[in-house]
Amino acid sequence: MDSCFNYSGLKICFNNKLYNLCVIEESLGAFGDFFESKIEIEENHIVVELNLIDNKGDIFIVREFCNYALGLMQNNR
Amino acid sequence: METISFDLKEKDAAVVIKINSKIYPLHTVYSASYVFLDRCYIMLDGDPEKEILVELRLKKDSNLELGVLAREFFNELLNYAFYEEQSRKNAPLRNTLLRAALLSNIGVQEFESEEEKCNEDLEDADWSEIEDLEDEEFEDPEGIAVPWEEKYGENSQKEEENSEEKIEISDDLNKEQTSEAIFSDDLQQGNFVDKQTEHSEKQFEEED
Repeated sequence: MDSCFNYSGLKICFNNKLYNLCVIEESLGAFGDFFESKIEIEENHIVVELNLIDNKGDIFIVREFCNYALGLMQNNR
Repeated sequence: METISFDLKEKDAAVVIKINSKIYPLHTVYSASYVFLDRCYIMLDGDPEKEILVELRLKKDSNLELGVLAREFFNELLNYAFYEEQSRKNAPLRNTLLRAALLSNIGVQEFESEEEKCNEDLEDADWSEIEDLEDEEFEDPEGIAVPWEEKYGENSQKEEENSEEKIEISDDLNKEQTSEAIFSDDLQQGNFVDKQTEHSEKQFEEED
């Protein structure tokens, strides 16, 4: 259950019952200047691996990315 | 089972809120979370059909207290639950009003088409009886049936012509008077005014 909260560094697990894949993709597009990404779809999670470009930003950018995705979920429903 | 609770993680500066999704559904949690996006970092997890977990993590230089933040989140949940319940109750009335507002435009179009039909019917109607009535002679001692233009239009023109003539006459008189005033050294200003008043009185009498 807590797997999602163990995002340390640059790997985030989004619960696919709570976050849409298209929303995650759109958020990645919005943060494309900060990091390169790789998406994997597991049984219950969408796993996103992020690589910061030229050490731009920090862990807070990743959390901002999560907030952005949640904002889109609220606006798109 | 607790309806709602939270676990403080002081080391990580985060709090995890557990929400019973039967009381606060997923869309209510989304709405409440959206309000907190500017104050903290939020991550959702759990099962939307059983229990939803919300992690609130403080931002970089935030001075907020996690316990207070969590309780405010509960309040926001209740706020949106109430709002959505009211919205659900008012939905039929809202939809009716919207439908009425949108359909009123169609109503105008229908009215216009009906008006066109009426005009067509009037054009196709048999007006011979009314035309016969118009041709018949009838008594009009008060002059009610006389059109306004016939009654006043020509007369008013005549009046205008008369008034123009009068103005011309009065101009001639004025010229005579001024010539008198200029050439007679004995004529004083008072006498000149008296002559003018006499002339205007004469004009009024003629008009009467």
